[in-house]
Amino acid sequence: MTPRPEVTGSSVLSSRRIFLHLGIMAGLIAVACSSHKSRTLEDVALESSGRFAVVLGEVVGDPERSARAGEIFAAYREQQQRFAADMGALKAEALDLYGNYGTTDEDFEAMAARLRGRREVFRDEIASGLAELIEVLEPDEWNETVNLMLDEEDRWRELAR
Amino acid sequence: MKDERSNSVGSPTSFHQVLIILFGALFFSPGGGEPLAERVKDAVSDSARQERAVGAAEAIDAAVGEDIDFVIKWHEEFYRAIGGADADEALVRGKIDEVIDRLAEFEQQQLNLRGDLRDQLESSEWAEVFD
Repeated sequence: MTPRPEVTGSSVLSSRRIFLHLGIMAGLIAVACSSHKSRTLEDVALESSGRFAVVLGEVVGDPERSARAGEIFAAYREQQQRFAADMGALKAEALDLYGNYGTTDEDFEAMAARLRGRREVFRDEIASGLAELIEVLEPDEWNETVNLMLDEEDRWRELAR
Repeated sequence: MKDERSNSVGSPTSFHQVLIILFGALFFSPGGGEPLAERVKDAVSDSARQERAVGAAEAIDAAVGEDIDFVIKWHEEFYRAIGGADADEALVRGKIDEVIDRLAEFEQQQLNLRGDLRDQLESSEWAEVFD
């Protein structure tokens, strides 16, 4: 279990969940081609998105910050979706290369450069979005957000058992 | 060739899949649930070469999951780091650079292992293992 940062505030119910959902949506949408018995990851992603929309309605205390947090989330989600799609395509290419007897070192080097390049673009997007979010949220809200992200990791671990 | 890490939520690796697909190294794909070494053993009839090929495949099998373990550990560290009072864009970028660099190393390692295996297999044997 991951040690939790100290929680310092009480304005917790909504804004704290923003980033939690950012992270979850990222993964869920990224694997949207997957399936699970009666419930696909796409379904789960939509559920998360729906919950997030509800949470945003309650949000941050003041409407202005709430709206801004929502904008950041929307932008982030778009970035995640693009990243997931691009990485899915790159992954398929990479696996084809891996399985092809005739693939050369140059082919792999070119693929590595493309992977790095795409990850770095995503890094820039994440860093920018996170910095904005940190500015929008009060310190205690941010702290609680991180706590919830860690809780969500635990939840996924439970799910994975 | 299959990648077992991209299938279903609720499976034993679902949490890992979320992280791996976002940041994970891409090349490991022993596939099929059967150890790669087993498939290689079946594909290579020459006994001396079989031993070397199986050894190379076992190295690939043994390395599976190293990247996943790293990403999970990194993920938790990432949260702790950005939850700190001094978190800012530079810190976030630095932490993400860590995982990008490490994943590139994993991928290179994986390709090196692939190269070791390829050196031991004829093209027809390779096709039998991976097609």
